[in-house]
Amino acid sequence: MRHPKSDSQSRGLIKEMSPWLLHGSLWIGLVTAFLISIDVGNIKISFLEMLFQPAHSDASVVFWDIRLPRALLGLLVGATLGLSGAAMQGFLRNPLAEPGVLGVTGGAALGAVLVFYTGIFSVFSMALPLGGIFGAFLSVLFLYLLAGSMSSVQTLILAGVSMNVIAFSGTSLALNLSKDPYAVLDIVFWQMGSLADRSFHHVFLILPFILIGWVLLLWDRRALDALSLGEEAAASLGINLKKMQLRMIIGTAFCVGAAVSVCGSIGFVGLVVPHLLRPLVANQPGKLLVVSALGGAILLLLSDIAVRLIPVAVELKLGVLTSLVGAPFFMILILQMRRKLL
Amino acid sequence: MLLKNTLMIVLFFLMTPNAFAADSITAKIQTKPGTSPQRIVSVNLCTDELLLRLVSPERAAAVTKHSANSSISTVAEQTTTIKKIQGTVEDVMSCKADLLIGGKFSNKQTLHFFQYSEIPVLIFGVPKNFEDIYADIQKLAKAVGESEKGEQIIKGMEEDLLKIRRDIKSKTPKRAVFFQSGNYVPGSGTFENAIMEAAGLENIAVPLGIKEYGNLPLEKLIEAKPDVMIFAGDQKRGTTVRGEVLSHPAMNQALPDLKVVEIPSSMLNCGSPASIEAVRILVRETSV
Repeated sequence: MRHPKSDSQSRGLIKEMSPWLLHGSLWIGLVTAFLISIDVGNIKISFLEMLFQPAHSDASVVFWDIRLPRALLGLLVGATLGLSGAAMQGFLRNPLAEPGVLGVTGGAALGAVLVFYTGIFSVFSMALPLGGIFGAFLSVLFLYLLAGSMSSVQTLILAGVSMNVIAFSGTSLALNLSKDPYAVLDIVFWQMGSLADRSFHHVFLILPFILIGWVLLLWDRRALDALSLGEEAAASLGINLKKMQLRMIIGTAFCVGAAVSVCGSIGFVGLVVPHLLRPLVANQPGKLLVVSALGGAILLLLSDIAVRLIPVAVELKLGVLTSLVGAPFFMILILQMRRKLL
Repeated sequence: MLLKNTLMIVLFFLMTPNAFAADSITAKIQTKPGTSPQRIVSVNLCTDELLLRLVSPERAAAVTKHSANSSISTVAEQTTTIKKIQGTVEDVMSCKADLLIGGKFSNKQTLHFFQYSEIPVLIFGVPKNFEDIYADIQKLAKAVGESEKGEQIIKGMEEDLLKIRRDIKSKTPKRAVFFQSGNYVPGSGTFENAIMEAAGLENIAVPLGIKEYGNLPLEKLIEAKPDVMIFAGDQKRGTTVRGEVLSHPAMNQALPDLKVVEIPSSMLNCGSPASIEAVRILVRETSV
């Protein structure tokens, strides 16, 4: 009995894809999205100009200081969200688990906000990702303690709702108490996320933490497959669930916390991507991890391209777009689950 | 209209404790027609400023608490003896005002409420150029019975501006942008634009088609290659995510010769004689 026996399999529309084909096409998709992301911007510059114009020229500055870090952050953050969503869904065996829905990104935002607006960040910039990681860690810990891996879907989601509320009110309070009168306007950034006008400084700031998080989450690839047979079955196969849970918590906290600390909370990527890709890996949660990371990066890069192409006076926040796509998806999933429960 | 007034008055008394009813009656008695108001209440930082330049502090019954903050107000010194309020309806009621002044965009509910009372209410818009400031000064000066002083202030400002214009050395105007956090820049029809024009600068946001305030993406800014970048007050040092763009590495890379001018926000928050000082700073910093 493999759980979750996905819906699409019962629909019988999509069959498992050959791993080579799947990974190949995802990599091609990722490279394409990355290149398009670099090509899209407020001014028109060709790739040749970007690469071969002298330093300090518009083209080279736009490429090296604006567009390349933006695309790299899109890749890192998107992959983090996809990967952590897949890992949470696999470990909790809960199809609605996702860092945004469960309040982990919210907790990370609160942690980052506390570091950012108290001025600790300007003295010691590493404190920003550390604050995000600490906030994310506390919220994942809270979730696992409150709901645990044995809990029902509903308990976990409700724990996530309460976590989100706590985190949001904490964030708003911190911004309102900030000495800077403009701080309150940043609520939108922390709630909806954006990759606009970030720099390499931010990329390097979060890169080590993101990589540590990825390694920890990918560590238990095989164990996740075993876990899909049930906890007892996994334990009988010699899997130490306590240690696995610890890696999951710390891994999620590291990569999600660091990502949110420079890009704000971007919701639903971790929910949508694993669901779309699950049938293609025959519902094996372990195989889904890398695939979801690639898919998450593609989705986030594409969303970031879209926010720059949609002609509005002020660029849309990234989370607005991912939520517009993700929230209906979430509702459909709930409806499907209800049908099953009935 | 009569019905609406009656309704408002009924509401007014329903919401008011009895003690206040007596207060408002005494206030009415004190204000005889023909005499200039002596208990003026201002519920906006900018009207605080204009008021204290026109009347002696004793005539101001209350001003906003912001006007005591010298980093945003140019009349902080004059406010020491004046009561500071937030500007809520209750605040104003407790002041026995005989004239209430305020701006279009702050404490709207308070101003609206008192428009249906016996207390005269004067509302000021946001000035878009120096002529607007002159008109505001005239309007307030007339209401407080200080028209002559108002004309004096206006004349002084006009002379200052003329003198500044004569002192501008460079023939070709420098290209400038007034950059704010969140990439918001003022274009045509803004007071910032008027200040830049008065200082002999060309606002790059205007040819880019920005009317009032608009978003100028970082890439567009780099492409436009301004000579001068103006910041309001300590925005650049502020700690906000929106403000981080002000120190984006791309800016130093692409615009190494950019002249950065910082104007204290107290000179920019409101249109007042202090705005002349903003023009002076701009001219001094950009004419090198």
